[in-house]
Amino acid sequence: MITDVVSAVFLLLGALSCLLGALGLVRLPDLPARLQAATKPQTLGLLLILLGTAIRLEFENAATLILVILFQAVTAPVISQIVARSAYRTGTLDRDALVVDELAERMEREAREGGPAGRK
Amino acid sequence: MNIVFALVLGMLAAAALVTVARVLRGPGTLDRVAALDVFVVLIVAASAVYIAIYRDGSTIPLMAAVALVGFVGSVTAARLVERWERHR
Amino acid sequence: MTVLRRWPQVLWLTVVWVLLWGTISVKIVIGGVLVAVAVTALFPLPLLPRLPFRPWALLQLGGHLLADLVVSGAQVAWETLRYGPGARAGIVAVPLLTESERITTFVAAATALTPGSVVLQIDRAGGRLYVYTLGLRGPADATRVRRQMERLQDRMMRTLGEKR
Repeated sequence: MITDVVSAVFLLLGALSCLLGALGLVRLPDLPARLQAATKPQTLGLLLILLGTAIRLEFENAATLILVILFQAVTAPVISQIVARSAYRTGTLDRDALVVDELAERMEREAREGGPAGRK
Repeated sequence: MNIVFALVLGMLAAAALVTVARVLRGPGTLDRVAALDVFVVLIVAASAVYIAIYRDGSTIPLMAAVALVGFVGSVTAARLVERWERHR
Repeated sequence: MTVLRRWPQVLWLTVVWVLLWGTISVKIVIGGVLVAVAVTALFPLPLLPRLPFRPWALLQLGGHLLADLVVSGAQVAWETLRYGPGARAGIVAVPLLTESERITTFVAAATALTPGSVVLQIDRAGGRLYVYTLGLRGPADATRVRRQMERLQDRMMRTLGEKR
């Protein structure tokens, strides 16, 4: 009975987090921002759902679920990082929309001083 | 518990719909890659809910496989896009 | 026999194998070791100095990362609901505290779990990380990001750094 309640709370919070992440994917203005929504709430959501599921299973199956959680926790940051880097290198990033842009400041300064304009 | 499962599956379905909208709308290839990655995560989440409902763990290895294949796919796609743009 | 010197990798792969099966038995463990040795021999990773093993620090790091992830999820969700298309972001330069490439890699990966951030570019010669962060409102927030990243790097070095 208690496991049912705990599991239900985890599952609901997880699904809500997944839904919010998906909404972020649609509502946020540009790719790097959407990437944040794709990584954080999604990973958190999946984690909660898998935990909620693991509680309802015997130990054997729960152990394998923990493995899936670890896979997701390790791979999500890597995907986020690689897609963000691709976006940055291919110039998809909308720099004018940024509040602070210390990377551009450095590149400008180096261009003025005739130094290397950052690694490509 | 049935109401909980219905709610959870409903939210996941809504999330999947919204995600597909982003896949269709793009605008860039990388937007689609990111959205498809989310879609894979949602599939894994939904199969976890199935497992929770029937207390049947026989599809868990499948979930692990889907999660890993999704990762390799997203990384490959992102790198491919980078190469395309460089050749342009 | 470089496989022998890669025993930690064999150990990890065997643990993953056993977890995949979900049960532990002599047959599964032996099978796991065989597969792990084969994988390690066929796809060797570069041999690096072994990471220090500090279980308590590792556990703490895991806890902090988990907390970061929860805060992060909530923050991105808030940003989506409250601002949506009007959400603002920025790129902040963060001093890199370590020279180790491996720790830099771990820091970059962990950054993707801290609130609204992802590392865009690493300038190792200049000792800077360029971090994209969602939800910045002005220069004051940049200081907050720098302090947060400093804490993250500090924790990472305390857990995986060569020596103290």
